Amino acid sequence: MSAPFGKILVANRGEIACRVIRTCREMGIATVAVASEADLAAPHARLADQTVHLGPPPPESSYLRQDLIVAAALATGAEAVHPGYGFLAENAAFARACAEAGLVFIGPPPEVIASMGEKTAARRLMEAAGVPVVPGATLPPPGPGGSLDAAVVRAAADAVGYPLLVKAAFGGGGKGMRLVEAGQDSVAAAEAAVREATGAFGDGTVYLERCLLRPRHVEFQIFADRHGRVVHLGERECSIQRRHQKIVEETPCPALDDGLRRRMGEAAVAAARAAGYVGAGTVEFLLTPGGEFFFLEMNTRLQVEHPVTEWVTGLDLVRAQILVAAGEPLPWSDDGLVPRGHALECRLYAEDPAHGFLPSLGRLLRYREPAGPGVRVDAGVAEGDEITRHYDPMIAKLSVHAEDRAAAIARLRAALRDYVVLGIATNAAYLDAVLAHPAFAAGETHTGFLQQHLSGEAATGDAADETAALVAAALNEAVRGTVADTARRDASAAPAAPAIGRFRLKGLE
Amino acid sequence: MHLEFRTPQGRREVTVRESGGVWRVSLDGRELDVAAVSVRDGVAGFALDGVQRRAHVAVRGAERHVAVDGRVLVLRLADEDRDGQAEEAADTGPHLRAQLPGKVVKLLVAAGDVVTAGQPLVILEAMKMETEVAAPRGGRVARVHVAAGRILAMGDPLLDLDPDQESVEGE
Repeated sequence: MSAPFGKILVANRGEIACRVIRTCREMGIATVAVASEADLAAPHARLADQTVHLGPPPPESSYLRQDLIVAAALATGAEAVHPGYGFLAENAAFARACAEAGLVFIGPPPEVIASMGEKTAARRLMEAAGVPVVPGATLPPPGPGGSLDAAVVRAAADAVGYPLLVKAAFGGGGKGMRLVEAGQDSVAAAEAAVREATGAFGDGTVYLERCLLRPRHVEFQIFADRHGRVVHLGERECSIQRRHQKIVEETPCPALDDGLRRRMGEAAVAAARAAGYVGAGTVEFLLTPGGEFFFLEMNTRLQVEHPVTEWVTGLDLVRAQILVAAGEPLPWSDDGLVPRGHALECRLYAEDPAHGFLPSLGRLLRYREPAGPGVRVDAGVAEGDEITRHYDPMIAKLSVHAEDRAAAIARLRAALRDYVVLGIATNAAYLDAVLAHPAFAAGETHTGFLQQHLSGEAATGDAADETAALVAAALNEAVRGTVADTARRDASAAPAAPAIGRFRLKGLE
Repeated sequence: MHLEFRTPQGRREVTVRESGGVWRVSLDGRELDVAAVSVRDGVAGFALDGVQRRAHVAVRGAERHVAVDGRVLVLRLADEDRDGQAEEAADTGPHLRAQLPGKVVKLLVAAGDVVTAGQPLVILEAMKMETEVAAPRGGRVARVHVAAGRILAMGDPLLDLDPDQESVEGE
């Protein structure tokens, strides 16, 4: 079968850009990367066939410049644009701009992105489709100066019940939320949330949602083609979150039995149909300890944690995205979707858990990825790269696949041990502390796991073996000294070598 | 070869001798059981107390970044560590420095303010996240070196904090 597109432009950077480019290469599709000033020699820029320089490092000057990206696609003859995740991936205006320029946007239609992007509209759509949603209430948009009717807020909050979260209607991904534990705090919290939402998202509209006790974050990968077929590819549990950022994800979810999986999967497919979805998407649910599940939000892009789904299904989700975007039917039959084994992923961040998880910036002096059966690394960095302040601090995803959950945990811990990153601090020891925790081994995961088990001293994990480190450093120093001395001796002893002049091919000048 | 390293715990002394392929390593005067040594391209393999170890060592100035068993330790080689020596000497100095490169988003205090330990002083932005820099001890802000919008490199001075009025008066 010939390639569905001749050329695709990848409107992103780092590991996801590398990921998409890799599948394009396998499919015989030419690739165009875009790079800011800081990324001209980055791995994703080197991996693509062509790279277009967008501008200075800040995202607003480069990766968020819709006009420059569309122009780059047209100038290079790209037929389609893959937005990755983050940046412009869930930007309806960008999807529209691509369509208007005659480019295929690899993702859902702009209207679907818009409807799922406004969280209260998404909730209403799901309720209408019979998908259970977290008990909540929309608040009227704030008045001039961000003012709210205190009586309306208090009444709505009392009806939703406590504890509750005030969330930004145009937010998502855990950003811009406030917890309210009692009625008397509801108005002040709502007003503060309006201020933050206005600043962060340009719109102060907020809504209320009950805060469930110790829920699991369980999301379903759905896929829809243009021929009316919508399937789900199973779930991912992503409960291990620090400040609402996922750091460990896995599939299958230890708390799901076949019946619950079937019901949640059906709800996810119903949600996707209700949204008019096309392409890869994820329906996020909260699952209570009692086994009740509620729609949280829908993400209209490929998720960071998609590798765990690829591990247990053996599928290439980027390949499927490209085929669907080209109008092809989903490339698999229903009976081919039986998951096998257990997959576990952790996110490696350039941050220092020993110092409040401050970002750790600097040059990667040494970088060696682990390898072996059932081990996969998705990274967008290479040794010698500079980790700067401009972009997301996630440098890589490390995922493993094994026969069962215990084996997967052991495999991931062993792979983390072999992962060498020197020059910046990372959260590797913290991740290992999570994986080593008895509660994690028991599958007792929920969105408050880290706060419950790994705050304070425990957060830094085991320290390095100082004796071994000193021996290694000293031996290295001794050998460096010897090598330097030998080089100096050789240089002074050797006769002056003739200077290499022009290299001339015989017969030519 | 006699080496002095600074670790988070303090100073450690290591001596290394090699003769005919046999290595002898001592730590703080005590000989260690080290054998089967091979070092190449910044990777040190050896047996310590009979257990095989493999560590990566990378160099940045006086720093030796070591990765062993999935953990990292940053050591400083004393001879080359002029910055570290200056820092140690100035340990009680008044400068509060940027711990990471970033941009100053907001100054929460001004010269003359009295602050308590843990009080937020400056908000920095790096990698799409805001972090607060808090006062390591109580005192009075003597001088502010930065303004909102300023881009900082690691180690750039943020502000000078004079010690508590009480401790000064108590002397």
